[in-house]
Amino acid sequence: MLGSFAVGKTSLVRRFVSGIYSEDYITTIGARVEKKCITIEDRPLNLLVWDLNGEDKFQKLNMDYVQGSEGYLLVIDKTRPASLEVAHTLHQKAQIVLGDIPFILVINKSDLPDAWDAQEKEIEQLREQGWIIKTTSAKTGTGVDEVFESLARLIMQT
Amino acid sequence: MSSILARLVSDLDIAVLERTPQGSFNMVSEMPEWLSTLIPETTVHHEALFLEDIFLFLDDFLERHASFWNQPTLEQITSGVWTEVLPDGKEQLLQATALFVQERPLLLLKVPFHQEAWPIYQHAREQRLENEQLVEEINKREVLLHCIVHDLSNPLSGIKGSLDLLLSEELVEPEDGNELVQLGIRQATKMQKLIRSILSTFANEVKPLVPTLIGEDIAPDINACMHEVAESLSATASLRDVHIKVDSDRSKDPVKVVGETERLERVLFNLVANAIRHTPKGRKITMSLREEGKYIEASVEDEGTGVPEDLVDHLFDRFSQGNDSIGQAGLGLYFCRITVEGWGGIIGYRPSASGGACFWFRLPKPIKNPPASE
Repeated sequence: MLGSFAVGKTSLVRRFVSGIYSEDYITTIGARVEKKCITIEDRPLNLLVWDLNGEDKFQKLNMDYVQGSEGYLLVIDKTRPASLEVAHTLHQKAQIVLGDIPFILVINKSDLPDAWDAQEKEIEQLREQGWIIKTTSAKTGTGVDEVFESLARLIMQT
Repeated sequence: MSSILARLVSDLDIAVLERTPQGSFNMVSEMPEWLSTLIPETTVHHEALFLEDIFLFLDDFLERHASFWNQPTLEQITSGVWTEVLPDGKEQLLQATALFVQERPLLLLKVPFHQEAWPIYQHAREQRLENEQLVEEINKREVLLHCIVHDLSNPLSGIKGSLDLLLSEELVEPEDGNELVQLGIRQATKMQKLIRSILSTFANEVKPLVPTLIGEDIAPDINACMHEVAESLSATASLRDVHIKVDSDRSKDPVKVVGETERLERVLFNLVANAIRHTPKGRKITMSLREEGKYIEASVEDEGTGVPEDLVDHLFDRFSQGNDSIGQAGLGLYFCRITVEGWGGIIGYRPSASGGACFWFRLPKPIKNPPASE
């Protein structure tokens, strides 16, 4: 799980792994590792999810954490345009360490009103470049299972 | 472990485990409380612990560094920080270090300093979020305000045009209509000025700063600007029986500063107009210039009652208004500040010796031979 701070990475993981959601924002330091067994095309899979601290001026991402990953979710906050810039930076860093592995751009907080029409064009351009982009709401659960399962499918295909 | 060492390790809340050839770990220090809550109760004597089953994080760390244990070394490997959720729901930050001591392979599990810093990170990020939200909110309001001001501007031009027509075409009877029409025109003109002032302030904010490396040849003459402003406001000042005095002679050599003539005059105009409003009848306003090293300082001093102390800190803020500023948008001094700062200058206020107000600003002198732009 890569993304700026407070975009909802931990909330997405909690919703996916435990089915719970909290409005409280608790910042992540370092990494949280969670496991969930899912079934994709009748095959049981153990998904190890590394929920990493958001990168900002207070804390940089330790790239050691991403080593060994087979895919990643780049999470952005629909209401915070700056989170897309952070996602770009993290994507570039991840590519240096991991090469071209499956990833999905996740636009989280879809339950909140639109706040950045200006970025829609940029999102559309990324889609045209072949990026897989999905929207989620950790709060309502919309799209959460689907995004993790989609990434698992992509990983299995590679 | 010696008793002193054991005590130290215990006080530092560190778990020391020794790796067995089978890859499990035996506890060789006292078990820290945080760790005991995570170890299965079925484990006897804290031996043969398979840490990767307890900590998913270590599963990766130990596997990635499996070869480290092959040969004793003076090197050590420290993991990143990770979070474990304890059975009571509390979150515990941990960090692991693999090392050899007297050729014995050890793994240290400790609580990193980040645990104590956690509330600081939390607070900093909450503040940052709040700040981002405020900036977003302010931006939205500014755009809205800008749109409203633009929308007001067009119908106002129509109203003023109609009133002008009524007057010029003599469509109203002079004895009962002229005065009212003129009043309407005056009010409409005043409102147009206000709108221009607001728009100019917003426009100024989004304009890139004028490069401060402008040459002497294109730099404005602040002395000429002062005389120009004094002249343009002389009628207004006369109506209030206030005299505007410029300390320097108009015919003296140009006093060049970084900036742009039109906006520099507006800065001076705002300061002098402000002074006129606060100067009692029969008193004067003095405009002066003096050299301050690489800067030129301009000042506008009145003989009013000065600025109340509680307003001084916010004089140059946006929408800042004095106690008697009816009809003023509170943008004049704000405009002055952002303009002067945009040119690399500084603006301020000090009480004058007479007890009135003295607004001053310093602007850099232009350079004699600016480098050619690319």
